[in-house]
Amino acid sequence: MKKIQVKEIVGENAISMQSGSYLYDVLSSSIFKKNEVVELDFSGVELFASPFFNSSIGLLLRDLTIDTLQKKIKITHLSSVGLQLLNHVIENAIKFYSNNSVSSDHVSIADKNIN
Amino acid sequence: MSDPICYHQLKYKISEMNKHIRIEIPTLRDDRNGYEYLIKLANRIRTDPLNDFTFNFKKCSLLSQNAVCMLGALAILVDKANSIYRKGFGGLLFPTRGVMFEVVSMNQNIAQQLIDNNFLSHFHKEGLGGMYPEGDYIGYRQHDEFLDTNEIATHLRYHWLSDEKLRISEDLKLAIVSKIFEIFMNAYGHGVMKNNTEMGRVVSCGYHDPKNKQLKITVMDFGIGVVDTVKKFLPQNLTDESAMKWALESGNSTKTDSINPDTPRGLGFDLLKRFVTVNEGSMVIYSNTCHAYVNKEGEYTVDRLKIPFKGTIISITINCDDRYYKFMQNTENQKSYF
Repeated sequence: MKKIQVKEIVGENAISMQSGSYLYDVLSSSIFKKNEVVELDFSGVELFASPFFNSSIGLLLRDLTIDTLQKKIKITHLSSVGLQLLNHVIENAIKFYSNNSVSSDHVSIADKNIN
Repeated sequence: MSDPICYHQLKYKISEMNKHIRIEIPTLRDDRNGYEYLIKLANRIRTDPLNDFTFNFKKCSLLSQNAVCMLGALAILVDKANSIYRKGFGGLLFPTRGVMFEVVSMNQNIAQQLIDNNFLSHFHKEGLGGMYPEGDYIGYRQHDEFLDTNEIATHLRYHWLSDEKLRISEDLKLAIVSKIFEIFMNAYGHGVMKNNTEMGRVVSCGYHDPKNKQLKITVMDFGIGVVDTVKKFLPQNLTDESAMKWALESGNSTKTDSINPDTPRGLGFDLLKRFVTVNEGSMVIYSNTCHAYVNKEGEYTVDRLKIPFKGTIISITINCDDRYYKFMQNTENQKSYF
């Protein structure tokens, strides 16, 4: 399992879409290119806002089902505020991509490739 | 490239400018009447900014944080309009115009409030720097034209809600900062950066009421506004109220940022609604022709404004008691994926 220290990528504020995009790049490289299972360690990250999770973990659901995402990512040391927000973002992302037929095709193709 | 300010100026003849306009500010509470007065005032000044404005406070016994916010925003707008105009004509031939807040007309409470909340330190005559102290109070703040997320986060967390000013648990503080940040994201998302608005900035003003253990914050911009942004974005012909309701619905977004359009968005208003509902706080939005608020059932109610406002005002009142936060954690009806 590959361990990613989120603080090293975004600092102590996980709030902006920009910083979410940095994390997405790292995650997509590990999950899609190297087929790794990733531990996302949020130690030292204290502040969270939805744009960050939307553009990082939320965006992964464009190409992965929620079941695969749960298998590929392990979340550690995320505060209760952050965890609540992450779950909210995931629920919204599932709804968002299920309403988008083009993205549904992406999910099945990418999902097959990494399982 | 068109500049809204230059276009705006074309409407004025030189003979009509440089009037000295005196405005008597009444008592302005954090209620609908207060907001409607502020919108009227903003519309009046925005249609004719190339003048000298003097604000007199003789009849004002209370000034809510949203009023402070609006006065600051209008001062920036007048200053920006006039400085652009002067530059356009080489500057020197035209007198400097602007806004004057008559401190001598204020009662002691108002004057002290505007010093304590950092407002007056932003607005003093050149050469009189240091006349009013500049601190990092829970108060008035002008934010840069471009969103600096870390700057806003640092301001909210370490200055606005510093431990010396507000004794609440770190968890509640982080939850509050996180939600207020969503308001700022919304303000910048409605095109402050892209549209070169008359003010070109986002302003905020906070107030801590120690007696009632409440925090209030207003965030304001003079951008395109929520309703107009939605109507521009959606192909169907919506009513203004429907456009506002669409914007407030979870998952809906006009994608006004520059990030991948395939990214899910549109949670800000939903998160704020949930937060103020369980926190037993309140939230109001004034934008374009609509007013929206979170009702007792925890849903948004939208109605029409008597006078439209080009821009967006969002105000939130939060109870600063950790009991509300624990309650919130226990009652959040959220599916857990992780």
